[in-house]
Amino acid sequence: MAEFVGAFGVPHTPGFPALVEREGQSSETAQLYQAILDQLLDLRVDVLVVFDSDHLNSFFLDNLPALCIPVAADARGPNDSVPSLPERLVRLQPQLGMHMVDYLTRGQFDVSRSHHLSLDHSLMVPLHFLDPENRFQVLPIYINGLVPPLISSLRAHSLGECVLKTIAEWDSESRVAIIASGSFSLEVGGPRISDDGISGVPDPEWVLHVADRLKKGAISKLIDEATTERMLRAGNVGGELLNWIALLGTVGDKPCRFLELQTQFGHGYASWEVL
Amino acid sequence: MGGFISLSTYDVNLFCHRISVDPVFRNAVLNGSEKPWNESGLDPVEIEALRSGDVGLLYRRGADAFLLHQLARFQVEGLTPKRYAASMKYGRVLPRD
Repeated sequence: MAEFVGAFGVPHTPGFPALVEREGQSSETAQLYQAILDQLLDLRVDVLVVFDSDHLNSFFLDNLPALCIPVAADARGPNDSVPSLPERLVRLQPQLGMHMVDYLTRGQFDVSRSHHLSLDHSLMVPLHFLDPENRFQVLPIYINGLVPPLISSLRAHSLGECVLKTIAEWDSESRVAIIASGSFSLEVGGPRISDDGISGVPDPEWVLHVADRLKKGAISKLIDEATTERMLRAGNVGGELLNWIALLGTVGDKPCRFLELQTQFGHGYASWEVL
Repeated sequence: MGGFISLSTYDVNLFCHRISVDPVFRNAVLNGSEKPWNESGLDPVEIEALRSGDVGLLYRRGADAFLLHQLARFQVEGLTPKRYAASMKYGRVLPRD
């Protein structure tokens, strides 16, 4: 059976590939991603399962899933023209994808599936830094984090618990790491952006609060606190926290082993030991 | 509604979505072609708001803020981040630089 070997949280700021290209590998951002890449390599990971929120690029309002799992063999990205982020073909993991769609649908989640899609920066930025050599197979699990109504934090956490069971029952020798992609506080394009930009961090206190909950493993408190209204007070992209809460469903109440914030961007980098 | 021209926010959102993911459409807009505007299904008020950078108006009438930001990301009709923020935050439509 497949083995769950590690859990990590990262941001997906679309400006980061260009920033690292300018500032070099010694930049803080490059170093933080590198610290996680080193752990993935140490763990001899084969498959990355990524809780992610598409940014109305892969999906649109004509048919917007609350939850979606790709069952395609591969997909290209980025589809949203991100500077210094070259287009590439990502190897997906359709067997695990279909296994997960089957397991979740027979259980408590009416999950959508996609046989054909492209990928936006929310997945491609993490892969740019964490899989520069295209060595991993990837399975994104899309959670709508941008367009209310959002699923509840409790439901996202339950999803994570079910995903963990699905991996444990997958007939494969693969070593699987789970990643959450997203911010804690971020406004993009809305009234709480900065005066000279198109984004902002409206609620740095929430970033610190979430970080404190992660450090202490106070997950049930975070689930209670992270209502849709509370997350969206932290920005119109604040629902990306659902990806982190889904990940917490796979690690239980363990405090994270490593957490570094970039509060100015409203996000952090984290890892959990699961073996 | 008393003279208020209701926005078909779906078409505004779709226009912004295509700016992000459809390079042919985006380049046509950025190169000054009238075709994407004429074929967009947008009404004259929406087109005027999009072309003048009045994203605050579009937002207040229901367009999605995340999608609207694509207009500034690609500087459609010269919409700089500063002009975008002035309209979105303060309702001020600044002239093009």
